Amino acid sequence: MSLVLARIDDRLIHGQILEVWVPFLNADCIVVANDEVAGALFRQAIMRAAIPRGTLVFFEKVAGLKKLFSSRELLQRRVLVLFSRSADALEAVRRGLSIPEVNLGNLHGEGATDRVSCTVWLYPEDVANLDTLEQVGVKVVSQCVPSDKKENWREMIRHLPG
Amino acid sequence: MFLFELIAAALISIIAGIDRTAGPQIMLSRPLVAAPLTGLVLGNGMIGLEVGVLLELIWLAWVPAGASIPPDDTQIAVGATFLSVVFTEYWKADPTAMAVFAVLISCPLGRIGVFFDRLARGYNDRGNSRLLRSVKNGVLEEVEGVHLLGLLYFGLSSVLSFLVIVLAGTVILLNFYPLVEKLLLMGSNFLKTAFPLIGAATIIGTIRLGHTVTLFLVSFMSTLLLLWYF
Amino acid sequence: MNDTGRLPASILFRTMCRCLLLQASWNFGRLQNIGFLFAMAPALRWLYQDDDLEMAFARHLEKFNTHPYMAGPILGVSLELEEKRRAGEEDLVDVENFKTMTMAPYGAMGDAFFWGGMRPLAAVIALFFALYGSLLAPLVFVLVFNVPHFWCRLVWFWKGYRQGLGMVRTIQGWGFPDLAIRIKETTVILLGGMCAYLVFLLTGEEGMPMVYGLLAAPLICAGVFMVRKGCSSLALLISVALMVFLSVGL
Repeated sequence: MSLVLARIDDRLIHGQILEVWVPFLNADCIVVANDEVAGALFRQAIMRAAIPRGTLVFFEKVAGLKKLFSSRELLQRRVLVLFSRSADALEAVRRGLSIPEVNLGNLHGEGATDRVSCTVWLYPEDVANLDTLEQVGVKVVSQCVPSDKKENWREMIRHLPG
Repeated sequence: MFLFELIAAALISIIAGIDRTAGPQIMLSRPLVAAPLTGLVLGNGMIGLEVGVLLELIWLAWVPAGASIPPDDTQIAVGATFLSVVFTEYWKADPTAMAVFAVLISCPLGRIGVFFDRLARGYNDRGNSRLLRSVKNGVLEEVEGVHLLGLLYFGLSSVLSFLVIVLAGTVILLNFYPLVEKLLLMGSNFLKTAFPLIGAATIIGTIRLGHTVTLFLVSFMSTLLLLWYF
Repeated sequence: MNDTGRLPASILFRTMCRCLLLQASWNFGRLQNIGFLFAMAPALRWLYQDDDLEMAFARHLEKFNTHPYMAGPILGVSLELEEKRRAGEEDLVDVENFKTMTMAPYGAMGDAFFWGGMRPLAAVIALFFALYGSLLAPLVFVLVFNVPHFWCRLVWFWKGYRQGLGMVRTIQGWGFPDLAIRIKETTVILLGGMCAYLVFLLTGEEGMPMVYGLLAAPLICAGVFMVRKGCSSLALLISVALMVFLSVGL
């Protein structure tokens, strides 16, 4: 199995993923790592309807990711894994999943949160989570679509207080 | 001089520009539709068609899902058609050479469209904040007003992009066209072909079905052989 | 409100018309939220009063973002769900959840089918007319593209209202993502034919030996390679123009 992209994106399955990233990376398997979705069959059916034949999709609890990743079904696959929040990505890494790099896609928190790029808003706890991720050796970058420049997240939060 | 043409083209720029995002998106904003329409209104449909063919495929592959916004090909199409119609008439120039040159200079100028588009969306952000406040206070009549105001912003942003393209384009044309006219006359046939081919390459490059390139090449070769044979 | 609690046809019709302007106030903060409320407003005003109406407005001002055409069926189902809520009935999910659940996947579906599939297909078909010198090209473009467009936006709006959450299954049955792939394949084949025709015209006009036409194939492949390497259309365009000028100038 090769992990071609790990992305934090609160929209999960959407146009940027299916129309841009999947063809760009030649991925043939999408793993949605989200506890709520893993238990919501109706929501899964809606998401499944957007995915073409030939692309496998799994809806898995964050805790079950490591087991899924070592399963036979994913052996020959190019996998794209989606988290909806930074805490899930951190949790997955804590449970022993090895992710070399995590990509910040769309995080649309509003209100008290800080907007660090066009599509990324971060809460203070997100900053803390990403910080921890980086400390355990996961590179944190932001790149909305492949044609955008890949930015280090440190650069993006420079203007934030504290 | 050419004031009527300018106003007519500006009107089309607004209609096509609104259809690009804010309106029903019935594809009036595509160069292959907007340019011939502009041409027809200005009395030279064929040159509009030529501009449309040059531009249609260039940014077609872009999906409005990403954060990066390409130049505004709608306003490039309307602007370049206006420029080519007016200057072919004014100088009795070769229409193809003029269309190619007008498109070439309008394309980089079209990036201004991104700026105005962002501006319009920014104004809509203000409308949104205002609406959120008023709904919180129990005022429920402002939705329609705030929403439709967005059409005005998008319309304005379109016509401003159009005007920048046309004004800057006129300055460039007046100064540079006579210098490169000879080259253009020799090269316009090649460029006329190259533009759609580049567009095709961007589309093939973006559609990744695994066998896209093979499919394309097989079709290309077999059509070419058929055309030769007959 | 009338006795049945069902929305009158006039209001459904107004909602349908208003859904054509979904993106008029597209904003960075909440994207299509105002557009969605704008479309729902006549129905909400008919269904609710006072505080209930205020809450209804507030819940439809939440962030919303999908493919503009796919908003048709989502609006239809939302109307049905709002009717049910007004009548005190419960369904599998409520309207807020339905919207947040569907907007991203349906957005992806619309992107793949309409932007990735139908739009290039309609463009290439229209280009054949244009290369033939026919001013019908724009008309062909608009017709080819808008039949599925209005089918999706208007017909599915009505179906969504009739079927409620069952609409999810109807949409699934159409298999948009697979259709999109078929359409893209067709487009690629037509593009190959179009490029060959263009090259054929050029060799004819310039009086070049027709074998030169074959050269176009590696050139296009080079272009494809550049695009995949992240080269922008504008950069390609300008460099090709410079190369052509240089070669005819020398």
